[in-house]
Amino acid sequence: MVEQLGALAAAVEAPRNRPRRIVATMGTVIGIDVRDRDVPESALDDAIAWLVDVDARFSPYRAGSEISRLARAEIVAEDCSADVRFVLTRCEALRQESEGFFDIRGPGLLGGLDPSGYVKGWAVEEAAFILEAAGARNYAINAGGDVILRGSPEPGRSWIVGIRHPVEADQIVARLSFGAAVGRWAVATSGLYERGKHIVNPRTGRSPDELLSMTVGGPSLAVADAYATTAFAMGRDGLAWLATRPGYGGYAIDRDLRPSWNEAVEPLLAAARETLGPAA
Amino acid sequence: MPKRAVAACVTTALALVLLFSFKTPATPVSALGGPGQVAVIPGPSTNPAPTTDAGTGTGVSGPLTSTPPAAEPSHRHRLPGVLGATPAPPAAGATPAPPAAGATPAPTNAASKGSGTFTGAAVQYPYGQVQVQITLVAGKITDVVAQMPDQGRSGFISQSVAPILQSEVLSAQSANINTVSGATYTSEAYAQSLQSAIDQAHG
Repeated sequence: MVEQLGALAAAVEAPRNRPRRIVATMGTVIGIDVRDRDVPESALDDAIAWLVDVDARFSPYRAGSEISRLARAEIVAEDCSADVRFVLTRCEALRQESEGFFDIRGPGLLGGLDPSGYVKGWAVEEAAFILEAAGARNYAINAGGDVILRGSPEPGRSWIVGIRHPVEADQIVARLSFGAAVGRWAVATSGLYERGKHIVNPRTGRSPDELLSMTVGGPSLAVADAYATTAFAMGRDGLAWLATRPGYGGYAIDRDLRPSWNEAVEPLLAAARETLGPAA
Repeated sequence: MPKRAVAACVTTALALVLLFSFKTPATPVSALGGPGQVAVIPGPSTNPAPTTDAGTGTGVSGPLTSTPPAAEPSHRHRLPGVLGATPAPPAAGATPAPPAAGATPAPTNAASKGSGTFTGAAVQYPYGQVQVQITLVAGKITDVVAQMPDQGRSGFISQSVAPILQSEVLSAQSANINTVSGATYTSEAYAQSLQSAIDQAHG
């Protein structure tokens, strides 16, 4: 199941005649790959403009962002835009749902308030809606390793998402096959190798070290992202917690590089094996 | 390139042999009666013998679901052209968007004319500075390397840190995999340096 991806320096021949973009924003790299040929380029421009706008308003790294001003107590939540209030409300609900494992406030976080763990998934999900409003039904967006997809890459095929090896950046450890989905699918991964994001187990106050990575699949990227952070912080208990979340499932790799996964994920793994063979 | 391909094939074959030699039969390991699949991923640093008490099996779980077709989970649906304070998006068409003025990262098409290596600005961040270098071949980004401090060690390390670019390489090399999910190093400084490298490549 391990696939050597080959040298990154290999020349890439971009497929023609379909809109695709790569943009650096929100502290990461976001790729948009629309397979519908009749979706105008302007829809991708709009989606990217939206992402850049969210970054300006939500980034804790930008002194003028609403989040930074909120963290400095220059404004209160009631003064914030509807988007910011929505995100704060959702993050509080996720904090309670995760029993405190998902928390955007804390002394270890930038300015004491960093909702980035929810904002990226939410913003990318909204960008997907912009694409869909322009007619996109077959697309994938990859935001720094967090993926949202719909439909199929081409008629008769399924989107295949590789899960990155937690140590070797150019290898994958598993493949998930998403049969032509009528709705959206999301895949998000949290990992120990993810620097710049400080995940803390609120029970121990320490960085979780039982897992190397936790990948979560389900219907919403914003939720999958938050669940991946939560389940990763929970360590070995993460998969059992995920099993209580309807519609979501996880694939964990522990510190000895042993994978384990929820039953919910098995059909996706099996479909990939069936399509691609056991070790293609 | 052919040498690399051969090397890649040999490595893949070795990895597969290793994988199958380590794979254990599926053993129920969960108190909840889950499937408890256990295997060991060949890795460079640790390669432990499989154990039977490993793995986190889980039993109680419904199927994974995608969003229902009719569902619009968005609290509000932003339509093109109503982006609030955002500068007006570029006009429709295949023309790449020009870099926006100021510090805001600009939308950028990967497509460009040149080949070569472009080094972005060194950007300061709380742990030091980060500097990103990109390689273009025939206008496509084929590699991204970031120099940044390795927390816990002294000095700088180089590492490839852009899974999205791996996805690009993958989808070209393998018809089987479309994209890759993984945790990424993310930072504002990284994005800024990368953007300046992209801008140079386009200039």
